[in-house]
Amino acid sequence: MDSILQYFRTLPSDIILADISLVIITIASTFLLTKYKKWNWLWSWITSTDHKKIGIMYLFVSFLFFLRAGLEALLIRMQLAFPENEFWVFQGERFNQLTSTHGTVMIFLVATPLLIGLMNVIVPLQIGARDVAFPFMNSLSLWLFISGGILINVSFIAGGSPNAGWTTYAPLSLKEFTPGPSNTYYPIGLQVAGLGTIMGAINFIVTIIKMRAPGMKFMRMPLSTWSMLITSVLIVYAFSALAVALLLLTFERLFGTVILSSSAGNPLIWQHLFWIFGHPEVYIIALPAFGIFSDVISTFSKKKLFGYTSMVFAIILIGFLGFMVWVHHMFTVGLNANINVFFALTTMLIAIPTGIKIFNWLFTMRGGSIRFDTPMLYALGFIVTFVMGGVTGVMLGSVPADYQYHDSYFVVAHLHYVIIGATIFGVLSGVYYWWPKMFGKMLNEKLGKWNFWTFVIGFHFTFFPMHIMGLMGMPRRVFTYPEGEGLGWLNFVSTCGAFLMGIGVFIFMLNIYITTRYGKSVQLNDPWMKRGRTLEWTIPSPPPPYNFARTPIVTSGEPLWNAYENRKENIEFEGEYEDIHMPSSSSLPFFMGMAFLIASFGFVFQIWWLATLGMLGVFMTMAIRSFQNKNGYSIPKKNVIYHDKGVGY
Amino acid sequence: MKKENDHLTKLSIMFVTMIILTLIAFYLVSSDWISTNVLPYVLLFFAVIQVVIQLVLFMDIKEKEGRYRITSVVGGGFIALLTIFFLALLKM
Amino acid sequence: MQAPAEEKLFSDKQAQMNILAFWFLIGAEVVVFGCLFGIYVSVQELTANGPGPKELFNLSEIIISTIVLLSSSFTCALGVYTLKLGKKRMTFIWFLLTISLGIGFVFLEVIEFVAYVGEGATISTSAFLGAFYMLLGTHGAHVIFGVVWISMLLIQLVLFGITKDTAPKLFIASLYWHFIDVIWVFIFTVVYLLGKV
Repeated sequence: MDSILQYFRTLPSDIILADISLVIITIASTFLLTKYKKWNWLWSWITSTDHKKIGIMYLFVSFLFFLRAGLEALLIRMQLAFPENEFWVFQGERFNQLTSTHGTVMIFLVATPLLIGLMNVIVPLQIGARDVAFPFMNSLSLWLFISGGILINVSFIAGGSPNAGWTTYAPLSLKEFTPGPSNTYYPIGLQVAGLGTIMGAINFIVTIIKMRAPGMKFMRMPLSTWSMLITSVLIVYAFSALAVALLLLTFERLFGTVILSSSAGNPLIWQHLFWIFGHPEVYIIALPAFGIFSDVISTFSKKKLFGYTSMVFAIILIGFLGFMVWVHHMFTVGLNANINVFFALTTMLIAIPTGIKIFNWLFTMRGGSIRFDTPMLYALGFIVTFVMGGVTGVMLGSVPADYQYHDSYFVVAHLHYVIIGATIFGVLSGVYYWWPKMFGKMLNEKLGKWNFWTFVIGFHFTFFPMHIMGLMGMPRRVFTYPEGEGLGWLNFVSTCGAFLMGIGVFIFMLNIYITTRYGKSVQLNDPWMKRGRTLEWTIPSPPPPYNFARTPIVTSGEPLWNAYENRKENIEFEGEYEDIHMPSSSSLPFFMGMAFLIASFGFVFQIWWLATLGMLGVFMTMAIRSFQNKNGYSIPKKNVIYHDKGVGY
Repeated sequence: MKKENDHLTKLSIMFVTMIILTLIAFYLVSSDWISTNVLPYVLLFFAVIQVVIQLVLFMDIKEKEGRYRITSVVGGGFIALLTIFFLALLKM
Repeated sequence: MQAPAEEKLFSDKQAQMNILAFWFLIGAEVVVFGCLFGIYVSVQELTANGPGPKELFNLSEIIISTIVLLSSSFTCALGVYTLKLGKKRMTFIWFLLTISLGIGFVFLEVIEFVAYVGEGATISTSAFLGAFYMLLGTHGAHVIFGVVWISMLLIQLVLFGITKDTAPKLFIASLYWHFIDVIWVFIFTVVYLLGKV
């Protein structure tokens, strides 16, 4: 007992606080679930293979991670608010952990899965499919992502978080310099999550190639679907490179290879592999957002998207070029000048397809009858913000200038302008846009506008000063800076902005709460004032488990809009009603995810029996799955007819 | 039945070809028959032939939906080559 | 007995989607092994005080494992051929032969590694050896996984016969097996043969 007390006395106060809040949250959620008898309900979600539910769980879990990493951002800003500040315990080592996990969580566990989640809900609806190609694998992707996410998040209270930056450069990330489990969490947690992401991507590709409704040709697909197709291809290749990089780091830390060591090996191998993944990752999280904005802008301008074909080819071109630019993250490591010039050129080339997209969006709005609802506001905010981020990107792409900007706050400003500007704005826009489709209720428009303005103004106050700080020479990843350099007030403004963003996120949560609690059901297929253009707005909100009672007939790129133009209420569906075969729910993905979690803990702490046990669990669940009889269940014809005629008519 | 036998013959011939290519490659390395400047390219060429045989004949890459299959493998190969090229440059 | 035609066995939409998905997984694996080769090539000359490829490898042993694995790929192709003809017994025998050869390959590889470690060439001796063991180990793990996987499918073949369910599974496993062989051809060439040049 004494030793346990002694252990807690040695812990820093933030970890004790985290421990206590973890215990409270666990007890409270257990209590609430028991009190309202919701365990079965929870289990039905956990084992669900319905793409809509899986998508919503993706969104929910990554939003939790978003809150956690956002909290870290606030702590970082508190520490940096004043020169030579000493806020709580976040100096030196703890500060490194904060920035590292903030970056890691935001990129891998927030930006990527938020988009995957949203697309999981939307893509099958947009192509007229009843589910994704592999519902079981979809659920497995989710649970691998959650296990990986738990691992990265738990590191904070169990052994120390990764502390070598979100890029975890060798040799700092090697055992020699950062002993203990901290940086072992990183490769193993991300490996598990990454595996899930690759599966999810393959699922999207096959779904989009094989499950489109009759008549839905490739060049008739909505832009969200197109962007997700290209993104998935990027994921398949980029995350494979990441898998090798992570495997390499695991070998370095656990099995004693010396490939990355600065004396016997070459640490640059990590940088290459990481950025071969890392740069496509930027497009992995940007392209789906582009797709969402294309749909939103077209809907709220009440106009066909300008230059659809050029939009599609711009996406493909961006995806292709995205693989050819990674060395621009490594200009200063001393590769030869020709390599740097080559990558500077490819980097600047990307501005061309991106510029095409920006102009197409502007031309879509031109002459349209624009409604400024929250999704559209976010789309407009995106255009302004992303152009600024893009311009700094081209600045960073020029080699000599990059030697000045590199590793300064200028880079921090740039990456937040593009990632928040595209991904987070995109997700918020998409969530406001499709919320009625997912839950059957409109998010409150007034709170939505408050959410938008606080978040966007807060965003620019937070990150714009960082450009200037960077140009004044403030390096990134430092926990303090001297007085009298003129950096104090800029940092203070930035911190204030961060809190304004925090208020914005709070208003967003408040909006969800109020809408869910008091909002009225929309009862309409197309709640956006009959502006919907694509297939997802032809079915009830929320859609039935099988999405489409009968197969939609697609004769153009915007079937619903064409139906409206012909003064019809909805598009035509073909075929007779029949019994609908649904995939059965399964608890195996959950157990496989947990087995991976157990194995990962074994690997992180090098408890080999635990790792073996976990891996055995993984292979057991795989074997069970292989032998399983995959019969689903049937929804009888009369129920389908009842629901189809009963709702929305 | 004839068509099926043809397929079987093709499989066998290609298998023997692969074994022979392997043995030739092995022999070339053991002897000094080709100068060491050229040899690596010859060996890689042999490897590529074997891979094409595997992909086309054994794995039916050109069958149904061949364009997706080929896109997937060629895309992966392109990125793999890019990676190998720039990692190999680190040697210098 | 009427043999089920190939079209019928693989005509199922789900089966076709599974096969297509597997091709994209192969695309991902190409990148995985590409990166591993990249690592290997970049540290090939960093042998520190340990042995380099020239001292370490014994080509006459490697040629045996190569022929073993190539043959397993051939028996696997024969297995798929009989599978499409609906001959359960022959399919079983060919695939059994495939995994036996696979096990033989793993066995030879383990002997090889044990010998290297005995000579003091361990995973942490040099960057070259680390990359070598990582590349070969990843490939070997794939072979072992393939052996276990195909064994499972053979049990299903015995239990359920050649059906719309088992046939595509075996076909996909065969794709996997050929892919492993493809990777080995490159390992044989890049690591062993070029190591000797």
